[in-house]
Amino acid sequence: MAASLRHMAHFQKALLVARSAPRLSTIVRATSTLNDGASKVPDHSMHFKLERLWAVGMLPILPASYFIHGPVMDAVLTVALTLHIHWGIHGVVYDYARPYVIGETAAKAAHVGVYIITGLLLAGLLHFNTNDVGITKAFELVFSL
Amino acid sequence: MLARSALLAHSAELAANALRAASGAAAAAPQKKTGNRIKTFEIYRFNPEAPGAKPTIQKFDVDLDQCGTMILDALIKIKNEVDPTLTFRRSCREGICGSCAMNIGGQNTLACICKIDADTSKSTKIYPLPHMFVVKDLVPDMNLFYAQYASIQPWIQKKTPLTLGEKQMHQSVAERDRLDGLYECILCACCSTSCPSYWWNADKYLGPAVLMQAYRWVIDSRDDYATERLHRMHDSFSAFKCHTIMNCTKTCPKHLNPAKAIGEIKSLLTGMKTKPEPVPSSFEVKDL
Repeated sequence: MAASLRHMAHFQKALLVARSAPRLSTIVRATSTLNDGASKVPDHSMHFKLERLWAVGMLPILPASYFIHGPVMDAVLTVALTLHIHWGIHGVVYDYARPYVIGETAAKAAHVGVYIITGLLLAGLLHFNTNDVGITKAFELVFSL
Repeated sequence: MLARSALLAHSAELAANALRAASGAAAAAPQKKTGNRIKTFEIYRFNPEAPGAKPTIQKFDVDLDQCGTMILDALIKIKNEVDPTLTFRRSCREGICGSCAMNIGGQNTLACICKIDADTSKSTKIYPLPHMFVVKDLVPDMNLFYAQYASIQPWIQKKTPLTLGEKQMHQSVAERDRLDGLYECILCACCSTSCPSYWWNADKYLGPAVLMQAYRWVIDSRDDYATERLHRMHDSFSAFKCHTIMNCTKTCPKHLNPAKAIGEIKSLLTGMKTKPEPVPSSFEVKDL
């Protein structure tokens, strides 16, 4: 009986040690290391969402422009296409015109080039709409060939 | 002319018969198949220790009848019997450690679970994982990959203080199910190194493997820092440089779907979806 009691005491002591062992009782910090300032980088999610919504919005516009012709449709198409193309080219340039590949200066020039291309596209389309037949009418003429 | 060649052939056959008879039963036994299934492996070699070294392709012929069925068997055979300098990583030989990830026949996969193409008329090309810095032969430098994995802080973080070993962290069956298809990732980097976006922007884009693990911790019901985790990758590169090319899902040797996980991250980042609130335990969570 005495032996079994001693065993009992041993067992209880072992349990106590196990409970208070450093590994088991480590208090996990409640504060996170996640707030390390990384969240302060510009949030791209709104932009990304807008890009997708814009693309989805273009889905009805393009077939509609086959049937509806006129200056309003021309203006809508001009704005829709310009922004869509701008974002597309911007993505391509960021992927392929990297400083690591073509050098710091050339990469900067390429990034500026995106805005130049977009500017020229917008100016060209607006010019075509106001001083020429306009986009929808132009396609009408092409299809009538 | 024809008659003479026929005669020659006949006499040759006779001679062969005589030979066979002379050497007895041993020669009549079926010939050893050696040489029938010789497969050529074209393996990328690069030894940085040789000054001015350039990568080369070296051909090795392996008799498939004397070799195991998997590419790793052939590599080990070559290393043991032909060229001990051939360098590659391997460990578990059963597709769970992710060490032997390499580009085999144009596809990133694990050498240990990739069968040798038995068509011996074509050689099999073996390269290291694409677009990684090569340490030697088939060994790529994984430092950036591991640093990116560390950057997503892949461990549970709680807002309430807790003492490990005191209480269980409750998770419902449905919440646990959400981690299926995510936690099985062995971080072999097959997916990340098959992704063109990762090739072009590895310094800023996290890559499919790391993003899938990021998602695994974001949606874990026991983790309290989903918002912070998401905010860490809301810039235009970390997650949004994914162009849904889907190479990651196509190549994954564990048949996981990193592209879907990235899609879910984008949904969470744009607010199209939100992380479900953790389900409270339906029973008392007792002290252990």
